Amino acid sequence: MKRDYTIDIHHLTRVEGHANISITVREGQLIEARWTVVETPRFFEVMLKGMSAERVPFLTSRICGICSISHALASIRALERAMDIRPPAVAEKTRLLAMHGETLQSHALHLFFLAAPDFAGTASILPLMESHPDIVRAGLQLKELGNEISRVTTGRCTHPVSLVVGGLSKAPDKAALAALQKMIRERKPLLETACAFFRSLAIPDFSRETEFISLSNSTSYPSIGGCLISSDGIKRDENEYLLMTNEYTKEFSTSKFTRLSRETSAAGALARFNNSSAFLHPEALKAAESLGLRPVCHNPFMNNIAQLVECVHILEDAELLIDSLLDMELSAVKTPWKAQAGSATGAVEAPRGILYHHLETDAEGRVVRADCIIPTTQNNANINLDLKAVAEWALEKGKNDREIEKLCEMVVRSYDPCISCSVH
Amino acid sequence: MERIIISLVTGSLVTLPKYPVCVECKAALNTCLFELGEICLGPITRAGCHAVCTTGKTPCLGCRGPAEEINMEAFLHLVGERELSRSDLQEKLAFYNAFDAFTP
Repeated sequence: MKRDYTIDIHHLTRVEGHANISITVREGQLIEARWTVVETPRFFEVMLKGMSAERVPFLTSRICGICSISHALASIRALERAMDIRPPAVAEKTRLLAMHGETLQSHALHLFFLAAPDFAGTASILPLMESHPDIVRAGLQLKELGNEISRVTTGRCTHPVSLVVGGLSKAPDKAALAALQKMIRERKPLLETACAFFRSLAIPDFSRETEFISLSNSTSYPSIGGCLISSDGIKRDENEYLLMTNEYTKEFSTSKFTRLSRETSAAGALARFNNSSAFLHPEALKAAESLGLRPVCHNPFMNNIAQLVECVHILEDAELLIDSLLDMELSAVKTPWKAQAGSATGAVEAPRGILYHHLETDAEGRVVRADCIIPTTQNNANINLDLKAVAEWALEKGKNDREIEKLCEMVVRSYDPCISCSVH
Repeated sequence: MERIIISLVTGSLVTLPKYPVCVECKAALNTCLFELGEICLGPITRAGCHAVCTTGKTPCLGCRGPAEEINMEAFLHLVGERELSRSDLQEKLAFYNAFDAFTP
C-alpha cells in the first residue's frame, strides 16, 4: 500500500459550483487536508445598492438556481421587518408551502442524483437507472413534486414570480392547490421506497463533535424567521446575525469562513434536526428512528439521512398547509405599504441551512447597504476540518489512497454545498 | 423547451419569437398591468416565456431582451401619458441591461 501520496481533486464533481479537495500523506501520516473554493465572487450585494425594495427579491433570487425561493424570501423578510410591513396570513402560509416545495426538490436532487451514486458505488446516477430503476424514478418524481409545489405557490418552479414585499402579487389558484394535494398523496409512498433504499446503504461510522446552528421558534420546525440558536446553548435575536457568523477570509478560498463558539460549526438539515427534532411530524420522527438518526448526531454523513427525514416532514406539513389554504379566502394577499428608512435581517432555513440577508433602506425604500451570508459559507470551516478528521480516521483504519479519496469526496457531498451561492 | 425539441425532431432551425411578450400575455387572458398602474416592459420585450411574470401579476423586466422591431417612442409615450414614475422606468429598463441601446 502506498504511504506517500497526494490526492488532488480539481474540481469536485456532483456538487453545485467549483471547489477542490487536496490531501497530502507522507509515510502513512496526514500532512494536510484542505477544502479550496475557487469560484469567482459575483458581487450581488453591490448590485443591490440603490435598487428599490419592490425589485430586490427579483434580483436576490438570481443568486441561486436551486434555492431561489429562499433568497427571495430572506430579502423580502428583511425589507418587511425594516419597513414594518406585515404580510397577510394567506401570504405567510403560501410562502411556507413554497419553502417546502423548494426544500423537497433540492433535497431530492441532492439525495438521489448527487449523493446516492457514492453509496451505491457508481460514478453517477446513470448506472443506477439499470440497477435501481425504482429509486431513480422515485427521485425524479419527488423532484418533480417539489418543483410543482414551487410552481403552484410562486408562479414558476425556479425564480419565483409572485413573492413580493408585502405578501404575494397573486394568490395561488384553488383548483391548482387541490390538484397539488392529490399529487402529494399519490407520491408520498415514494418516500417509503427511498427510506428502504437509504436503510440498505452503509453510512460511514464516523463522527466529529461540532456546533450546530439553526433557526428556532417555539411552535414549529424552523423555516422562515425566528431566533438563532446553537447546540452549544447560544440564543440570539435574528438581527444579531453578525454575532452568530463572525465571517473571516482564508487566503486559499474565494468563499468566506465563519465561526461561533468553536473553531467551526455546521448549518443544514442535520443542524435543524439536532436542534428542533421535537417539532417534526410524527411520521418524520418514525422515519428518523427507522434510519437510525437520533439527536444529537455528530456524523456529517448523516446529513443525507436528515434531508430524507425532512422530506417526510415536508409532505405531511404541505398537506396541512394546503388544507388550510383551501379553507381560506384567497383574495387579500398583499398588504399595501409605504417605503421608509430602516434596517433588518431576514433569516430563513434554506435547504442547506440558515440564510441571512441584512438590508438597510432609505426613506424611498431604496437599498443603502446589503449583506448576504450563505449556508455553505457557514459550513466551509466545518467541511475543511472534517476533511482532516475523515482522512486521519480512514488512515487509522488502514484505508488506501483510493478509499480515502472517495470518503473525502463523500463527506463534502454530505453537506450538499452550493458553492455558487457561497460566492454570491 | 417544447419548441426547441420540435425544431430538433423536424430538423428545422430553432428560432425565437419575433413578437413581444404582450402577444403571449393577451393569449393568457391577463389584465394589462398598465391598467393596474404598473410599468411593464412586455410591449418591448421578446416573447417565448409564455408571459410567466405578467401571468403572476408582476411586471415584465425584459429578461429576453428587445423584440424584433420595437417602437420605443410609442412605449415611452405610453408611460408618459399615464404619468408613471420615470425612475421606476429607468430601473426596469436597466434590470437586465437589455435596453441600453434604446434608452434615451
